[in-house]
Amino acid sequence: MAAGSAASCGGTGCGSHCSSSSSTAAEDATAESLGRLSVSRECGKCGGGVGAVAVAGGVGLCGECFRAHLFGKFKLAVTSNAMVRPTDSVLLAFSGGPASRVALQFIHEMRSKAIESWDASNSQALPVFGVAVAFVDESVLCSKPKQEIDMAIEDIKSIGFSVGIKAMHITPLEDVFSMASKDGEGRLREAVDMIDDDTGREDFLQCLRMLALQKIALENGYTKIMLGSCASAIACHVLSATVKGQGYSLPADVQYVDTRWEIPVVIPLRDCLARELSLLCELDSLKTQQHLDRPSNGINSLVASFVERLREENPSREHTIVRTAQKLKPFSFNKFSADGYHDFLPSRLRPKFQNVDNDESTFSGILCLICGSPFNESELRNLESTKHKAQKKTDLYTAHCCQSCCFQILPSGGNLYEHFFSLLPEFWTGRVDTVSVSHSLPRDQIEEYLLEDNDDS
Amino acid sequence: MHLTLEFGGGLELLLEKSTKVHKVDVPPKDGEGKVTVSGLLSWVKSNLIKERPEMFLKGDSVRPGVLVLINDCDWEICGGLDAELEEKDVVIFISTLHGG
Repeated sequence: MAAGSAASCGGTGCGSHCSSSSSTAAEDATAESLGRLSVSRECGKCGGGVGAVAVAGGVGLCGECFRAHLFGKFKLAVTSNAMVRPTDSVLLAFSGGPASRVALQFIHEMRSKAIESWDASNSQALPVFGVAVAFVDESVLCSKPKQEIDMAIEDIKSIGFSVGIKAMHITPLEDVFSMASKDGEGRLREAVDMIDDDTGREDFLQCLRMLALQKIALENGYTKIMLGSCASAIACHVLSATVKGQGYSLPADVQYVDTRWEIPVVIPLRDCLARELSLLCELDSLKTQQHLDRPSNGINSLVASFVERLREENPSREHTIVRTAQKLKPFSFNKFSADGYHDFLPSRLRPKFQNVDNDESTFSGILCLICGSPFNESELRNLESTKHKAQKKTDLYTAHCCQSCCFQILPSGGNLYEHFFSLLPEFWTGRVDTVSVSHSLPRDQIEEYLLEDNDDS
Repeated sequence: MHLTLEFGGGLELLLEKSTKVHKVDVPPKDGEGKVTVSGLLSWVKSNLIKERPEMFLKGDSVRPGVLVLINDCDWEICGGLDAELEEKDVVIFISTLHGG
């Protein structure tokens, strides 16, 4: 039996079929040479002749145990990282796919149980967290007929309402461009078309999605954004970030918690595989909607195919990749500040929080204007140098982009930068301090009046 | 052998009219009247897949990232490619490459 995740049985024991205790290298080799796992047809957790229907961590599980296995991982991630406070209002980012569908189902169940406890409680001192759903509508970039798009959007809404969600935010992606201009769609299309690289375009849209979610959360008073990013997606990100030279910032993207954004982002499905989540959607008839997905042609899809091939050889490969990336030191913003948690924080969770008495509690570095990656030393030096000699706002905007975004997102012609930045949402460019540029005359206009360094006065 | 096949996660786009559910009659390959998953895949490739077969199949098996369920059970439990299908079985193929 192939080796599986050590946490797959949740520590409660899987009986005689538990792979972590009984597998040998010879058995693994035999199983792999047959091209499939040799998995028992009986549930490895509850046994008793109950038929297994799903494989998790190399063990066959019945439907109930499989579901409990995944819900257990989700709940453990939420509680052990204190992701959701009783006073929080959580915005779940729903893409229509299986991972975020499962996240929606599980957070709804956690909330339902919390409400039952609250109803039964005499004091009712602590409130129950709220949950809303956001869907970023990217159909403006989709070539499908309007009728199909409208039906897909209606499906998204019906999925949210079927789970009992009352607050659904269906926001067109172009809205992030529309704050100062009515032609958000035009600006979005033009900005995307200016990016030559397929992978750069995909990554730019990914950044816009986060921007849209942040905007929805800020405008509606949500305090946390929950993503459905799963272990498989994170494993792909680890490899694709490495390929793109984003190694310095990689630790920031693979943790449970990310507070560098105005509204903190949490990833409770980080330990679940895409395959497991797809399977759960089928077994539990959880409706998904992926009709608006666009084909992908760049590095990201190539890496996803590569990871799938690795998984074919060994189902644990995705977990191995994520565990390896976890060895990188996270940034200070990958922990919540203890401020605001004091009333709810059990002592066992205190190490998970930033030490508010320590200077590390506040991240003082620079984040990339486009992707939010923390700047490395080289990028910081370049920025400092540019601040002193910048003659145009565009120079400062460019210096506030990380090397990866400069390479794959900014247009290939330097003379196009000004136009590109003029299209970007003010939500982004407004964060760059350009006061020093606006008050200084361009050097070439006053060159003849400047003294050379070696002139005698 | 009468079977119900379902395609999801984008695989339906490889089929005619992007139809997700197909009720099919698959002839057994051998003289014993048995249909295995391996035989079914071969039949699907020849009769249902209209474009880009490499998105569904790799060699004799499904492409990595395609989940196969036989009567709501992971095919790895049922015997994989050698699993024997029975009359009125429901086989579901789902692509998990899209994440979500």
